[in-house]
Amino acid sequence: MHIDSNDVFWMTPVEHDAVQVEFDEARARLKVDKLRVFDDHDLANSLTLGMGLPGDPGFPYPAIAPKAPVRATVSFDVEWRGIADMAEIHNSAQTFKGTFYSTGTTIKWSAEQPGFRFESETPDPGRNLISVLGREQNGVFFT
Amino acid sequence: MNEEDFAWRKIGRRWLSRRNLICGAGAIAGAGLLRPRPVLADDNEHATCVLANPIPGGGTPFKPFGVVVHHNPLNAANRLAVANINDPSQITDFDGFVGLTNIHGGGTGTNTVTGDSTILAFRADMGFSQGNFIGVDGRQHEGTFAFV
Repeated sequence: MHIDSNDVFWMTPVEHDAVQVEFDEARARLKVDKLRVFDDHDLANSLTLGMGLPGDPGFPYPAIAPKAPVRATVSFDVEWRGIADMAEIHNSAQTFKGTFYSTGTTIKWSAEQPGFRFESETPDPGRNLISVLGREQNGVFFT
Repeated sequence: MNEEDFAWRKIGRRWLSRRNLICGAGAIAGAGLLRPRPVLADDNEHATCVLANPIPGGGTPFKPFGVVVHHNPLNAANRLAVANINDPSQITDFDGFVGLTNIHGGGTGTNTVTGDSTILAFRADMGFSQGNFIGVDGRQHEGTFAFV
């Protein structure tokens, strides 16, 4: 996935009904079928715009070969549900506020590009590391 | 410039042209060939090409190379202390719902040429934003975005 020309990170517009939120129940679903994306191969090539990393002495990361992005399609179905924690946040330093739940999550996703296809396992709530669902205001909406 | 670089630049130009047709040249006048993808807000009545603004924070993991990542990854240590999270939105001047997950798992990768398959692991940092935002045009828009 590319970073857009205004530096918004890995966000892409989707149809409004791709997202369903029942916030008071701490539930949400993101479901998208066959979204066209660029597969940037790895994080370094995504962030260096395909230039890789030189691995020069003095930098704390290894050399990573340049990789051109490949067109791909991805489908994903992510569900947030179950409350592990909840907080009202008012963070003046980062100018954001709102109500946030720590939730459980499951994911089912697949990807396809020329010569390769991936399909994830059956959704497993035990695979969640951390997930957050929030109703927030930031920037000019933070007062 | 190697062959791969050249191929990518060609892809970039082609993508830029597609967006030009959809959005109008003015909306992407500042877009570079290497990062040509504007945010397309799905306004209710008319699909409009509007760039959102990134949150001011983030990091540069491959400094001095790479671009600034305007994203605050979730820390699993905060799963039971959500009050300690940083702004989970990637978009600033935003009022709406945001979801973010850090999840891992496994799956099956298949070589579609040979039919060979293998078990693979993944880790995903994904989410969404849905609500109102102020675009680079200074106007308020409604949009739904996947963080992929």
